[in-house]
Amino acid sequence: MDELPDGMRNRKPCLISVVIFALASLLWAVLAMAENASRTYELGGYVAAELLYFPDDPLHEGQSDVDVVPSMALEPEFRAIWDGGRSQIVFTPFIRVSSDDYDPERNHADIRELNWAHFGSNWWTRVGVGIVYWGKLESRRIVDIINQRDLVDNVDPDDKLGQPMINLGRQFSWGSVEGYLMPYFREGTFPGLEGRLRGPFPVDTDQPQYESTLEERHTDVALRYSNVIGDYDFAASYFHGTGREPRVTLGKHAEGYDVLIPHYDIIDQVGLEVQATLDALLVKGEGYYRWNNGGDFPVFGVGFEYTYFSVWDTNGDIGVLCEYLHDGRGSLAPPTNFDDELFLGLRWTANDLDNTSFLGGGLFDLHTGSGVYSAEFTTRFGSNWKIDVKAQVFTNVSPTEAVLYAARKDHNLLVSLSRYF
Amino acid sequence: MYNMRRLFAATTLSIVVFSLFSGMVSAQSNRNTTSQTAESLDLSPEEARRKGERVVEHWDKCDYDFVNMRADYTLVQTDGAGSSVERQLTLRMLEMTDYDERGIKTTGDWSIVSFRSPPDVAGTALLVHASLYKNDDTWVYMPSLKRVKRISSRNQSGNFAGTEFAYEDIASQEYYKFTYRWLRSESCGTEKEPGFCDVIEQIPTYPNSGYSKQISWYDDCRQRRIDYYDHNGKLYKTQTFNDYRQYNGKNWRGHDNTMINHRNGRQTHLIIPKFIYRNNFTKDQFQSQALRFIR
Repeated sequence: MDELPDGMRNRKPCLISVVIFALASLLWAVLAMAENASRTYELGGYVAAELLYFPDDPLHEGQSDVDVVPSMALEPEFRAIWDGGRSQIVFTPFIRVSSDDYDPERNHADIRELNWAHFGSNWWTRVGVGIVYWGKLESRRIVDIINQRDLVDNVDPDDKLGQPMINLGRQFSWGSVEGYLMPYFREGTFPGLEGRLRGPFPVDTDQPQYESTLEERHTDVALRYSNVIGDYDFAASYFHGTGREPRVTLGKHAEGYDVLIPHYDIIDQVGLEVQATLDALLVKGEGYYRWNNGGDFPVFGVGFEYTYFSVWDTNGDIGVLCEYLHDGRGSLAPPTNFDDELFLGLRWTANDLDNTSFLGGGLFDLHTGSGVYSAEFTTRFGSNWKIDVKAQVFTNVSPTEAVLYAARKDHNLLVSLSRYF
Repeated sequence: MYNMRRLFAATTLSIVVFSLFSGMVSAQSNRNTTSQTAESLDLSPEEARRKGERVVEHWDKCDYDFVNMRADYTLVQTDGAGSSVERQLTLRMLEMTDYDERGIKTTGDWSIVSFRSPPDVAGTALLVHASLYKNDDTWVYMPSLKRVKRISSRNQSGNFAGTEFAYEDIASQEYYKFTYRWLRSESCGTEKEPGFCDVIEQIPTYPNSGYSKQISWYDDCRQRRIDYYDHNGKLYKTQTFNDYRQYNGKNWRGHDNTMINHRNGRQTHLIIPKFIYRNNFTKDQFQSQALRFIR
């Protein structure tokens, strides 16, 4: 059974199965009660073949020295819609299977979404496993806290694990208010011993420690207020519960090698987001203050995005991005590669039928000059095929930047071909 | 005597025929079907403007009171060589009901355009709160990230999703977005759907338009055609509206809409099987927070 993906090799597989089964039954009952006549079903999602290439040899002991890692990912999406689109049930499982000679942690499965959503006249609810996006900036997700990151899947911060929740929202004349009740915590995923893009020691996801005696069954809560006034979109949020980012301490794996033990604290976090949309200029900011996560600290980012439309007599737009990121956390807090960084980026959107786009940029540390260059290109061909190319290069990394320094040989190129259905 | 009687009979007949004919003409006098031009009518610029405004005001009000509307579009984009691709879209509209003392709308309608295909962008939705005098407020929902982002709507003249439609072409055409000049009246439409139109020159007054002017053919409540001219005064695109059907005993809708780009020979064809009214839409559904629930 040790070939099973990580998500299934949980310490409490029984509990999870029961919860998922109960949820699925509940959604089935909701669906059965819904009016038959107007109900429609949709099948969507994709299957992707992917090559991940590391040109340099690994730096750390235990890391796999294969330079090309092939993998497959499947993410189907089942949807039932009724009540004129006001009610829907969506189920989106995800599975990735990577080649055997690479990190087995990367073989994993997740339920990205399994929920019932209903939009009433001026209120809405979502019950089940879901994904939520908060924030305004492009180079870092700062206030976005509802979902745990799926760090083992890709370098992409937008790969998230499905979060079980009861979400209730209401629109008032003075803005909208949403509440989240999250009865189950999703532990982070991290590259294993053989994986790249990790620190000198892998994070051992088999021995997490929790501040709460309820461990992952601590119920987390969040509130968010958002509104639009003229050209300004803004939001304020509050979170109390198990922090998504773990602190780490050195420990020993069951097989004897050194690992990092993740510690999940009960944190409080107050967040703010603002965007001003001023003609072709978007001015943005987001930040939070967090308590009890290896200290109390603020994190924020401010920046702008200016778009030149229909450049050089083409249909394409060019966007210029500039963002300053500040992270005030101390050395006991969860590790991050951000402290005082400047992001400069360029986005090209072709506005063609194939949704072709390119985003390239560099993230530079203002003290050490360490740089991370990244680029991504995407386009469609036919009506069902999509190709994505992503690259990441680390340059001039200073030894004082622990997270980046450990990954300085992990330049990578990712090519993925997806078939949507 | 005999001749006199014949002459009398002939005269009577001609008078009867003439009065019958003139009666028909006067019954139609509010919609003259004889081609005329501003020159033949000797209209002053001021008169041509007012005549144009009357025509468009009447046309604009024909579309009032629709309350809300939903339509599924099939979009066929054809390139110069004749190869084509198809997209499926859904348009939802919510009527805004602010009027001035002339009874003309002063707020743009709210709309949501969502993609049903191609499958990798299915669920992507664009929310527009239209404005008459300034840039619209626009949000886009990206389903792969579950992200709602406010975007700049300065890009009125940019093409929508690689089609020949600019954003300003798909926005609702409100009375106060243009100045008008009546040019002429003439036959219009197709053999299958013949009509008689007032031809109006309309100049955009909203910011960032890609057009110096539009020439538009109005057949009472139906707009039949628009010629778009670029900033060099050259004919750039032609849009035609066909297969008109009436809803709610009032609102006319074309079910076949073609945009031809004369610069590159491409065209975009929109086919709408039917428009659906009296949906249970609410204002709260047309807010950025609600976009992720749109399907």
